[in-house]
Amino acid sequence: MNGMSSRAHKIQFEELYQQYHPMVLQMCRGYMKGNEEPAKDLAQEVFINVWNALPNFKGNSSHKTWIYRITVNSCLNYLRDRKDQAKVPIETIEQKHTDESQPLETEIAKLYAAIGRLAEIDRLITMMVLNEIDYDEIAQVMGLSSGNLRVRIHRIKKNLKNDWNNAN
Amino acid sequence: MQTEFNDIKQLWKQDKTSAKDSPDSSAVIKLAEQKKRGTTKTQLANITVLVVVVLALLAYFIFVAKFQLTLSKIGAILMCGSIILRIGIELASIFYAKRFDLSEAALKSNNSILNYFNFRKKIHSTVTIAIIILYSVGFYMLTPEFSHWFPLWLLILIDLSYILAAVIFSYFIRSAIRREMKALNEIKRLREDLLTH
Repeated sequence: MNGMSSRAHKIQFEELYQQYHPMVLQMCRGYMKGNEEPAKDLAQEVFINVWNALPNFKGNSSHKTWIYRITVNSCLNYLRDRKDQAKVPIETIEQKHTDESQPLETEIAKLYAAIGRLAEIDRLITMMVLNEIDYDEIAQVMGLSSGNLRVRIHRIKKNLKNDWNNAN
Repeated sequence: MQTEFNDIKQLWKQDKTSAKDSPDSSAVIKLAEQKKRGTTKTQLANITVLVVVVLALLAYFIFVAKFQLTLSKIGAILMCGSIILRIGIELASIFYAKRFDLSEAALKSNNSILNYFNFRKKIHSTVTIAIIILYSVGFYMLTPEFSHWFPLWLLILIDLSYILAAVIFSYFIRSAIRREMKALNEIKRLREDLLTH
């Protein structure tokens, strides 16, 4: 276990879990197009991976960046492994919220629907931008060059804004 | 009214999940440990089955059949050898899969997984087919010597049931290969997407 005692492993995991679970869950929700149950399942998968990887954490990056990397990789693997089951039509979720929800909830459902219409990689980058993560940090998480990422974010923002305005 | 990206960001912030929604972390730890044990058990079970089959075949060939013909001896070696090769591949796959690091950058992690699935593709397209052929050839090489021991009808029954078993077995192998190739295509697509501006 690379020198980490079982107790230290548990304590550190609990701290990370308490601090980052909301962030991870929201990101999973966006990735799963606002669909709550698969999002919870995916967030659980992320933290199982965090638990397994924690003894090997070398401290080369902040815990936050490290957890973002695990979240991004877990999201990409999750859809690859469950592509057929995980397909949820965006309209179903959007419709469910517009039918019975408060205005804010309806707006939020529309936001998740708009994020859900983006390609997987763009979806993940978008959510990190929405979480105000530094562009260089996002580039590190994705393994892309800063220049490449900036061009991409510019395009995503434009598409998301247009999609949002067209849908409303 | 035109919405700006900052308005979208504000909406996103309003949906920040409350920490109260987080389930108990000990449940996740328990599940992680269960999953790890489950995966190890499955991997060990697969290898154990193959080892038991080899040992049973060896015991049969050495203590029961006691083949006289060289053809039969070569057949027995081919059958056992092909299963031992399969065991080696299973162990290599486990070793390879254990090296995945999900805390790497997405592109690097995608590359590692892509290499793993390319390795599996190479295995399936060459070694798996070779294993099935070697095992089958080995099996039929036993037939001439078996013909001294068993009546013709039983020999035909044994050979025909082998074909049936091979067809069923090949169907399952083909399904598993198709699943893995589908995953490989998906990984390639994500890589393309990652590298596109």
